[in-house]
Amino acid sequence: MPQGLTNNDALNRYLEADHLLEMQDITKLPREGQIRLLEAQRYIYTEIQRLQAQSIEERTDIYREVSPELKKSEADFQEIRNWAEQASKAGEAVDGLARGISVLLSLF
Amino acid sequence: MCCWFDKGYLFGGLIILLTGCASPPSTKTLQDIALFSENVTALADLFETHIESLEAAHLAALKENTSLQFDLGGNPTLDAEPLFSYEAKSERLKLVKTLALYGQNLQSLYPAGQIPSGDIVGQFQKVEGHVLDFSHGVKNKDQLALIQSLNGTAEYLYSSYRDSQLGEVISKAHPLVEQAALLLYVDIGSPNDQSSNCGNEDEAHYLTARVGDFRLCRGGFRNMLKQAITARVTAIRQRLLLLKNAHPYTRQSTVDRLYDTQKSGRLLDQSMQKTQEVLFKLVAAHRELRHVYGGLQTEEADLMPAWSGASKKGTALSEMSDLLNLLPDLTNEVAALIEGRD
Repeated sequence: MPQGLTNNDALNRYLEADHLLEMQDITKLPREGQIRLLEAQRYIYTEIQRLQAQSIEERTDIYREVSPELKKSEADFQEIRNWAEQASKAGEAVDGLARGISVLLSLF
Repeated sequence: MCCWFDKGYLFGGLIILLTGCASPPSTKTLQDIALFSENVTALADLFETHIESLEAAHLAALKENTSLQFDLGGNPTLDAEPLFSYEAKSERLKLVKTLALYGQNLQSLYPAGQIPSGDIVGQFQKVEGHVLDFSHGVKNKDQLALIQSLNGTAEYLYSSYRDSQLGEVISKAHPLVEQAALLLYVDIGSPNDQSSNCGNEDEAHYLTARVGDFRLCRGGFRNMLKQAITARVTAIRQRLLLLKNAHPYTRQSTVDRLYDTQKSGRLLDQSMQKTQEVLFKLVAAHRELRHVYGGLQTEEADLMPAWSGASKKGTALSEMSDLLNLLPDLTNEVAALIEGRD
């Protein structure tokens, strides 16, 4: 890619070149020319994709920040689950008390 | 006699205490939690499939060109670098899997078959009317109903605490859910040239420069797909032109490949575009959960504007499900077309 060009400018140039090559009638070229045309198309296609992939790849750092932050919610869920475990033990006592009251009620 | 009144007040007080707690989630909300979890998992799988399909379309484009060069007697390069680095793919998959894990964690607090706390309150209220009149003694049948209802006490106490805590967790996670959805949305991108929206900015900086604004530049998976399909179609068309004198069967199979390639491009783009809609619905559905669980309302801090994913109140989740129900079939069809399977 020529120096001083932004990704977007370079992309526009490659897209323009790609369009021009696409217009070329391959049957009008000698065998050697046909192969050259295909080589050029492959090169330009690869460059267009490389530039576009680069824009996406440059956002990877943002992904690297978001995933661990979201993963922190795991600790909050674990806290609730831990509480539930303790509550379950206490709950047995509450339910036991309820049953005790019901036994008392049945005496009357 | 006075003792019976005391007991009556005791139970009445207990019921008032329990039913007076924070409004518990309804059965529908519990179903929504399960659905949300399933949908986020499906979305994670779908995003992974899109990356794989895009790589497959790219490889197919390179193969088509290479094959034609060989047939013409050339000596083409056999390099076929994938579009994305391992790191870029793994970081994206890590995020969608973290989102899925978040959904599963939500659901894990509401195991299947559990009585929603709202229903437990209902049981207390049903019992209150006829059982808790102790002035005439307690019949065996009523004792049974009372005992059964009281056995849910611990469950209810746990539910109330869980729901209030969950409101906080959902509120805290919401900006991250939005940011994740926005990142994935921009990655999927647009097949059209909208670069006039972006001035001279490079796309990489676009996300941070205009967060909360969905005007995309050109680029992303959808535009890369468009390029891959165009490149493959061009090579197939060139082959057809060179096959003028070939056997009709050879020509026919090449024509079939041309149409299948175009169809795979259309379907995959449609699937990606629907996935972008799903991402909007995901944010809207998560906002609905935040509202239901009474988490802190922080709309002013939300990255995505209120209109994004907007639908009739409370329907974002079902709309998200409807979209996701269609997409796996669509992506399987795309994969078959790209790979030339029947």
